[in-house]
Amino acid sequence: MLKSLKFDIYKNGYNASKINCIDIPIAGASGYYNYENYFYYCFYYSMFTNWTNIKNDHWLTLRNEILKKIGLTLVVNKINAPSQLIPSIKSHIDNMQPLILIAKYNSLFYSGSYLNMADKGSHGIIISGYDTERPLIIVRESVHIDNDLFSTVKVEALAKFQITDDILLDIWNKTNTSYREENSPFYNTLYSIEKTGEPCINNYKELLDDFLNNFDPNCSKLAEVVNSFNDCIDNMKSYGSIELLRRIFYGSITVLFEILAKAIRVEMLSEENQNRFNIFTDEYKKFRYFLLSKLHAQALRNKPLNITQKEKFLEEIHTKDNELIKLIKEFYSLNLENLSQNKIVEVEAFEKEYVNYALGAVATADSEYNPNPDLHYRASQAVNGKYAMPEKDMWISTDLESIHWLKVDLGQARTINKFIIKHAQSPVNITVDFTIQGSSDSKRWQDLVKVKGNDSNVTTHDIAPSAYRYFRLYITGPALNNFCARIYGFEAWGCKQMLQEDLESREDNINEQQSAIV
Amino acid sequence: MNMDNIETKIRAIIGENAEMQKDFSHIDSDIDLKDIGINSISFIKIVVFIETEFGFEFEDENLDYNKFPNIKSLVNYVEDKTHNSKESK
Repeated sequence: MLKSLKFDIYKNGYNASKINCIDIPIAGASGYYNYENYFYYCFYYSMFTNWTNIKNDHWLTLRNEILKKIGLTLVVNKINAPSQLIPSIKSHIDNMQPLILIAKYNSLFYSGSYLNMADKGSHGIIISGYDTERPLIIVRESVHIDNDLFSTVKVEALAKFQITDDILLDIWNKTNTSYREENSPFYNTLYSIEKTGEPCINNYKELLDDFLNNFDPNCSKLAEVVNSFNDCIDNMKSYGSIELLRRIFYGSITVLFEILAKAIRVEMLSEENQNRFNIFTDEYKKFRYFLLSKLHAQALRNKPLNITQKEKFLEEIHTKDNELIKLIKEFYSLNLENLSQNKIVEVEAFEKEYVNYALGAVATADSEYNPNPDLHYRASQAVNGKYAMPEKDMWISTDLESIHWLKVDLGQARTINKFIIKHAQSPVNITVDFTIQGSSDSKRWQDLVKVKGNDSNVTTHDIAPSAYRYFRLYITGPALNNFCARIYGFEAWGCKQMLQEDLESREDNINEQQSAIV
Repeated sequence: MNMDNIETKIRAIIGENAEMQKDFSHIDSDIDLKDIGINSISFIKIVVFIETEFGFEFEDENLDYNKFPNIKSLVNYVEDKTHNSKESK
């Protein structure tokens, strides 16, 4: 049976002229936790490679700065002996963590084009599953050149296929022989993408807000390239380095503009403003295209830039970046109303695919506030799906203890991806510290989400899909200045389609564990 | 230098810089450079080779791969530049 982490193949994603063949797989694998993560990752990749103060002294630093935005991290797993590779892969997949293997092109036997590539560079592969009975591993490829094997697949897709354990080991051994010689940081390393906390970016409006708050034209990496051009003329001559510059400063900028257009909902602007956006995008990209061509030509001509040329370029980079931020700010305020509707559209799209399994489930609590026969804040009121009147739709505990809990019984195990907790409206009554837990027997509890210092009326928590029958909100800080827990709604959302398959794999898993114990 | 000579030299330069290994001496001069494996990066290499060969520099605005879709357009441009520079002398 296949144990496979399910996520999109991103047919509408990006190819290697825009984002490189290691970051595309990382973006894709982060999409396991949330579909839009792919686009958020690509957006920040473009932003952080074009404007940043982040010290990029290690390959991992920049990636983890990006992943932090979406509550994830790239964990380094050192594999000291080849025999540890397959067990390590299986253990991560069992823990629902997708993996990234960075391999040498010339070890990737399945493509003649890869093997024949002049550039003996590295290529990222996602590992997303394995077969429990046969020695097979499921991998995904960000196919990035016209490729004999993938001629029928659109190049951007993260194509999925299976290879045997032995073949993967061959790739691993060949790759690491090279990495050892090169003293590469990738040597004997398998990366897992793991959840570390709550995402800062949950939708495109938050992405825009973050962009507008953090975009700094004064830390342009392109300006750095122009500034240091005369000292690096020789480096700029090689195909590889100019290709890299084109990808970062031109290709990935295309991605940035595409995602900005999506986030700002350009299609909702007036025709005139849509034209302004398109003309600006075009001019911005043309300028960069020309600048990179000019730098490349100057390098091949062996001619440094003179002061006038250099200052003209630096000024134009700065002007264009300032115009960019001005334009986005203007359209952002024009479209603010539509952007809030955007949220509604996202919620609707979410509800098409997901279902709130806690709705109407059996709910119990450590205590229920019941000051008189007519007023009873029952636990069941937190899962009635209504948020109109506190007396009818809210659970409130007594204030005799400082710790409270609300438990829902879904009747059977359900795979949950996301919790939405609706807290009290008044800031002093919002739940401050709490943990969301899952359990199969209502006795042993597994922590799924931990929150400290909350001050929001509504909190959403994406988790790696987890299947349990019981879920519990364990509250250790009920409110700012009293001991009453107040919960308007406890929602546990799971994917409609994934449900059946996941239950089967879970049951098989349990059977396997039981037989192993026997 | 006549057009034929210019074209022969340009074809040789393209042959040296195209990703695709093939004989460029007889291909159609109308064929799109993109279709014979010339991309925006190899185009700039071709430009600088042409500059060295014919002794002039492309203007900044002509460092654009989209302005030279085929061999014919490159030949015309070089012919124009070398012709003009002779006239001005």
